[in-house]
Amino acid sequence: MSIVYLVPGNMTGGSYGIKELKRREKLLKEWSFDPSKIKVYDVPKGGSSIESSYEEIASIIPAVDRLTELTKFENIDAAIIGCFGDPGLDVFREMFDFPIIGPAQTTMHTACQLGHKFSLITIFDSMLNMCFKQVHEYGLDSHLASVRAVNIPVLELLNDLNFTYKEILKLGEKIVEEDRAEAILFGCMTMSFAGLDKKLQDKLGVPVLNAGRVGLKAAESFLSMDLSHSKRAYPFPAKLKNKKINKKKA
Amino acid sequence: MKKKIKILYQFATAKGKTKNGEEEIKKRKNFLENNIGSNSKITLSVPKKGPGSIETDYDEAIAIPNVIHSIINAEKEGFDVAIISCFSDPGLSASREKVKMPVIGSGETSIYLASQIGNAFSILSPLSNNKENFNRKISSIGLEKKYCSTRSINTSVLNIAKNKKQSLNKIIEAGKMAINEDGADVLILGCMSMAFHNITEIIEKKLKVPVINPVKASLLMAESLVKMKISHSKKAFPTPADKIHY
Repeated sequence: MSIVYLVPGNMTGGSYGIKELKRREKLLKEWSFDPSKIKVYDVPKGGSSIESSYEEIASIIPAVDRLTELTKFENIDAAIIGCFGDPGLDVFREMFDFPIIGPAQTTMHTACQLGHKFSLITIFDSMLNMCFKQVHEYGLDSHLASVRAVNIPVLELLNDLNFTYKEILKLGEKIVEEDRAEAILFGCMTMSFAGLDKKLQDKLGVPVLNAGRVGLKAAESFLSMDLSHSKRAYPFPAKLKNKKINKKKA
Repeated sequence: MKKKIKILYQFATAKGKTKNGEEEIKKRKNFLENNIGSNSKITLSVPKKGPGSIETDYDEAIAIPNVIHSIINAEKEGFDVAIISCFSDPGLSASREKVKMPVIGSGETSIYLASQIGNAFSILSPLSNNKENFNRKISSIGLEKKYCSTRSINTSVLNIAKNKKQSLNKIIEAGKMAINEDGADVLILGCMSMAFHNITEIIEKKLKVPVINPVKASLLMAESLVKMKISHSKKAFPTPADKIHY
């Protein structure tokens, strides 16, 4: 019985290393209703971080293959894609019957219940369009106040937390004052795991949502409800029969 | 030991006054207690006055003041979160203006959940006049693109519990129509009287699409928000200034 949080890249081999993977596992356990269930993995064949459409697409098949491999020795109940781009959400849902959580999708839907308009903080200005497309795909355009970029690379976000905090705070103030957002989402999982959400929430006076934590709650809720995505919406690809994971619903 | 999450489960109707109402409340209390986490405690609040069921805008308007006052008091008494137990979410935004603790709309949270697990959802409702109401709700939420239809079973709320088997058959028929004719791939039970009857799994098995139970969805949203220490934005639901209400 486990909830797998899958970082769709090679974190172990990157500059953050296995230490960061373990730190995320520890935080997820702290946030969860049942810590014993939480397992964090990365994708050794993946890239170092996802900051473009190319890197996003390139991450998908290795990540799906990795999750398939994990099903051989983990009894997986649900999986969370550990990237705010929700890379391959539809692909994962076609291939697997157990709930697949896209942290962006579920965090945006949660934000809509906390206020009328939310804003996203992404990494680079070059990623704004990726964010607009994503919000549109989820059908939540009417709830989007703005997307703003912090312009610090993913792999540098955790190097100087004080600097990162100040930069995000500056953006947050503009988001609340100028864009009139009523809730703010960290549009990056590394940002979500930086431990800045509560401090920023107190300072800015609007809910600041950590997609790692919201994603985990969604996974746990799906399991409690014995609910998963609709296979009518995400049918298994007929020609790939030999790749089918046969896992009975618990 | 950790402090328990205190959930207020707020009825919008004067359920206790209806025929076999007390018995029904007991049943619902059981259902709720079986579906909360081990670290939660749930208290039911049932208005003494008001409509016996909510099927029109008029019913809703009469029910709202009871809901708001009870939720305001609950916050003062130390509750952590409130759930409004009616699919039309009577008094949701007004309550959010008046309190800081999270207030969950059973309808709203079910609809946002449905939007995450498929491409097109349909709502199953008691009466056909619910349709216009739900259409308005969906457009105010902004999820028109994912909304297929509302299919009704033409049974009044209070009659759903009276003939459980017949209601179940009608719900399954309505669900089939939603899937085969409207193209739904997710269904939502659009009434608490359907949701409290332990039929979600039966319908799911029969129709092979996920069926969202608004009672369970609201409980989990409530527990999740409290655990994450997150509530609605006061920028979105600002506390009304003190003024004399004549």
